[in-house]
Amino acid sequence: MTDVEAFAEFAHDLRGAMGSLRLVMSSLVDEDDAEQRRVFLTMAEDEVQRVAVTATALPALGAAASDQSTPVAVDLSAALADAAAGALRYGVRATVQSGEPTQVLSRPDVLALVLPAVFQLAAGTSGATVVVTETINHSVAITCRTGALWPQARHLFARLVLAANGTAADSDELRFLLPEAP
Amino acid sequence: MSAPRVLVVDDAELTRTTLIAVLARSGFDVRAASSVADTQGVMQSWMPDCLVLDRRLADGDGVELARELRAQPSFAALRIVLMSGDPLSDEAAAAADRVLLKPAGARAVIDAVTAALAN
Repeated sequence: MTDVEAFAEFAHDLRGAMGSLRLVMSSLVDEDDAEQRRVFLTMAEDEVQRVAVTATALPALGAAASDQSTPVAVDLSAALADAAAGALRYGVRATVQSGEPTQVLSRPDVLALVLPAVFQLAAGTSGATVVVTETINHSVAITCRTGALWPQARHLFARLVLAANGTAADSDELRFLLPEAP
Repeated sequence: MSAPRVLVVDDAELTRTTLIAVLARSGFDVRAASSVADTQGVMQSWMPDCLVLDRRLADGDGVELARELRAQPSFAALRIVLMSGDPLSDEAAAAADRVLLKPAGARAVIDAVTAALAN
């Protein structure tokens, strides 16, 4: 998929979310049942949260598309700590449980945008996630514990991980691998 | 006379839930599916009069599904309202009786279903 196609897909996702929200708004006008109105409004709030996460991911993908630099050794512990602080500015509390300090190969400017977006994606509407790292062979696995994910979340996650030169792992949690720096 | 049956097919839970409510409130007998596979499963035991079908689904393309259904004589009477986030080509739009561009309001969906069933 080209960068243009990827951004077109994001535009499509955002239009889909706007479509859902417009349907809810227009249906509330004729909704007499207070309980049904409450259910709709709660679901609309969740949808807004999903749009917010998608919007956070866009700068990371834009940076990945324009950054032509070669991956270098990055201090992952420091990057995760910075990302947790960045995520907190969006109201997401990411608790990082990392092992030994590890150097990974990635593009630092891109990774600095990707990690907070992944944390926000994992936190979802709960506003919190626990991030665990472990070294496996010559890779570092980063796992974000998450609650329920919406259908397109894994696709967005895969795009973000690819942007950071990582590999998304097949897992119930949001888990990806970055190559360990030699 | 029984209420016309409408099957809503969309992978967005909020859209499904909202469309079920607004279409049921307008007198339709409504069910929902979240994917192509789910749609095929529902239609084995419950034949709708109209599909409200999202263009993009997690496991397939709504236009392709509409074409496949159109090609089967057993679905000749089935009406299809296609919802798409992007404008469709004339060729793609021909797979449906009505096309709605997202974001569409509840009234537009009800009107499209009513018009499709009146064809």
